[in-house]
Amino acid sequence: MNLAPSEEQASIAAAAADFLAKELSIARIRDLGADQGAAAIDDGTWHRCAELGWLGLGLSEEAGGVGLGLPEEVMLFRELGRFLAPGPFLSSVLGARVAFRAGQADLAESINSGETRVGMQVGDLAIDARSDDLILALDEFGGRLYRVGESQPVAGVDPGIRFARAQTAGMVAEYMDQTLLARARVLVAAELLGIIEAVRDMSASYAQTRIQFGKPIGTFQAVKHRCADMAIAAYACAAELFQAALLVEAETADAGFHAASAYVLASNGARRSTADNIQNHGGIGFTWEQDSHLFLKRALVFENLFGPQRAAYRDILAPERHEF
Amino acid sequence: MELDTSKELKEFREEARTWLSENVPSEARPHTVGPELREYDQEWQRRQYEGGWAGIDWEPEYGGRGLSLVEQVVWYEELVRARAPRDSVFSVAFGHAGPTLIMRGNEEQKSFYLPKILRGETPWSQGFSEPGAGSDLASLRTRAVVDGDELVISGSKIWTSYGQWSDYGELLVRTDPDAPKHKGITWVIMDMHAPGVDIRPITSIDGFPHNCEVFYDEARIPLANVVDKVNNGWSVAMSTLAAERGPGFLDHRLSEIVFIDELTEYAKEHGKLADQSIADRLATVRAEAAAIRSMAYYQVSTARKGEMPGSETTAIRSWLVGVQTRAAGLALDILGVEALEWKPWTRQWLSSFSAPIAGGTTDIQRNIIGERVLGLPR
Repeated sequence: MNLAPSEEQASIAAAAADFLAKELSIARIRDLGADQGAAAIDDGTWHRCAELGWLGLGLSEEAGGVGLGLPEEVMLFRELGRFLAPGPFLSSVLGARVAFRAGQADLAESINSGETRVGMQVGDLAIDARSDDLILALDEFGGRLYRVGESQPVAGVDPGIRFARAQTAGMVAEYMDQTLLARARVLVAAELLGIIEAVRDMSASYAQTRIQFGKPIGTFQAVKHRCADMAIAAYACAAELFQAALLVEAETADAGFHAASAYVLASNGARRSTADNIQNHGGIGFTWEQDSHLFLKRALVFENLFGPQRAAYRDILAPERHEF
Repeated sequence: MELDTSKELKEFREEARTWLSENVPSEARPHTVGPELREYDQEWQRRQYEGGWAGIDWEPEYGGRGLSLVEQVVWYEELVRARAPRDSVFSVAFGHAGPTLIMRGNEEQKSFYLPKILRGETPWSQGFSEPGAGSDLASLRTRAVVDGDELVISGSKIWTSYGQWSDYGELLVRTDPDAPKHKGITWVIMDMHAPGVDIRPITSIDGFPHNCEVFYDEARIPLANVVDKVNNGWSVAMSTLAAERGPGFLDHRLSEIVFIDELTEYAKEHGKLADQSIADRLATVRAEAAAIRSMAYYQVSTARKGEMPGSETTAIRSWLVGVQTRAAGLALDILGVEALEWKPWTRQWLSSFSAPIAGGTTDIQRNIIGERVLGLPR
C-alpha cells in the first residue's frame, strides 16, 4: 500500500491551492460572510470551481465526471479545508453521485456543471441550501436528495456557512448504499486535516515571530509542545486518511472501519488544534479580526455533520479484529 | 496513493501466514529473569532464520532476504497477527544495532555482526544514557582512551535494556573530553563479557528487571570496534535513533493493535461496552491504533532504502506512546476491581509508564518536532 500522494495527485492539490489563494482568500470569505443574505459563494466562482472539475473529480466519465477516485478528491478537499472554502462542495459532490447512481444522469450533470447546488441536512438545520436548491439527507443507509421549498435563515456559528430551516418539497433521487457515508466521512476528514495543517502552520509562524521576555514564544516548551502536538495529529491523520481513501475506493471489507477511524482522528485532532491555536496567539487569537476563530468554527460544524460521534464509534467497534 | 494488489505481495503474505501458523511457539515466553528467557528468544529467532524469515529487508550477503521494506512491514504484520512473542532480547539488535551497522558500519563489521543477529546468536543491549546524561545525552562522560590498538573504557551507563542477556552493547563513549560536547563522542561495539564490565539489573515498577546499570572499569575492546570514525559518534547515534523511529520496532508498534483487539473482545464478552464512557474510549483508542499501522505505510511510502527516516517520523513514536498510555489505562478500567490482582494487564499498565520515557522522553521528542519539523527556535 503506497500512501504517498503521486505527482499527479499532488498537482491536483497544488492547482486547487493556487486557485483558492487567488479567488477565495480568507479576506474574500470575510466579505462574503458579511452579507448573510447572499449565498456563501457567488454563482460566478461556483461555476468556475465546477469548470475546474471539482464537483465531479471522483465521478466516472460516463457520469460526466473527471473519472478519478476518492484519493484525488481527498487531495482537493484537504485544500478546501485548509482555505476554509465556503460553499456546498461536500454535499454537491455527494449529491452528484447519488443522482447518477439513482439513474438520473441529467441531474448529476446539472450538479456537476454548477447549475444545481446541493446543500446538506444536518439535524433540523439545512446548510448552504437556498430555496429551489437540492438538499442531501445522508445516513448510514445511503443518501436522498430533496427539492428545497421555503428556506428560513437561522443565525449560525460559522460566518462562512449559511444556516436555515428549510422545508423540503419532495424527494428527487434516492441511492441506498452504505459506502456513501464512508465516502462522506473520508471527504470531511480531508477537510479537517486541511484545518489541522493550517492552524499548525499559523501557530508555528506566530511562535517564530511573536517576542515576549526578549525571545520568540516558540522557544517556550509549553507553546512549542502545543505546536508539536498539531504536527503529530496531522501526520497520524494524513496516514489514516490516505489509507481510508484507498480502501473505501476499493470497497474492501474494512473500508467502513477505516473511514470512521480517519473521521474520528480528524475531528479530535481539529477540535484540539483549533483550540490550541487560539491559546498560542494569546489575546489577539480571541478577536474577531484574527482568523483563528474561523478554523475553530468550521471544525465544529464538520464534527457535527453526521450526527453524534458515537455513530462513528459504533462502526469502529464493530469488527472483531483489525484486518491486516 | 495506490493499493498494492500485486500477486507477489499477496503470495508473500500467504506464505508468511502459513509458516507462522505452523511455527509460532506454543509455549508462552517465560516471564522470568534467568537464562531461560534468552534461550527462549534465541530458539524462536533461530527458527525464523532457518525458515528464511530473518532480516526480510537485510542484504542476502549478511543472511537476509534482500526484499523491500514493504515485505518487511508485511512480515511484521503477520508476526503480530499470529500472536508471535511480542518482546525479545533481540529487539535492540534488530531495531537499533543492526540498522546502525547497515547504515554506518564497515564491511568487516557488517559481515561479522549482522549474520549473528539473524541466526539468533547474539543479543545486543543499548548503553547510551548515564546517571548524569539522560535527556541531555550529549553530556555523557563514560571515557574511552586509545591505548595502542585498543580502547580502554571507564564509567557507568544506566537504563541498559537487556544488559544481563546481551553479548554486545551499542555504547556511546567520550573520546575527546576537550572537544565541544557533541564532537568528542564515539559509537563503539562493546563486548559485554569483557573483564571490567559489571552488569547490575534494576527492578522496574512492574517487578521485572527491564534495565541494568553497567559499570565499566578499564574494560578493553579493539579499536576496530569503533563504528564510523572516532569522535563522530554523535552522528552515528542519530542514525541509531532514526532507526528506532523507522520500521525496526514495527512488530512492537503493531502489537498495540492486537492488544486493543484483545481489549475489545474482552469488553464485548464481559458486557463492559454497556458503560458508554468505556465504549467511547475504546472506540477512540481503536481508531488511534489503526493510525499506527497506516503511519508505518506512510513512512515506508516516503522513505528510500538505506536513507535515514526524517524528523517528522518522530511523530510516529509520540503518537504510539499516547496510544500505549491510554490503552493501558483503559484496560485497567475495563478490568475494574480485578485489576487489583496481579493480572497481565495490571503488569502491562505498570510497564506502560516507561513508554513516554525510554528512548527519549516525549517532552524531548516534542521539542525535536517543534524545532526540526516546524522550524521553531531552540
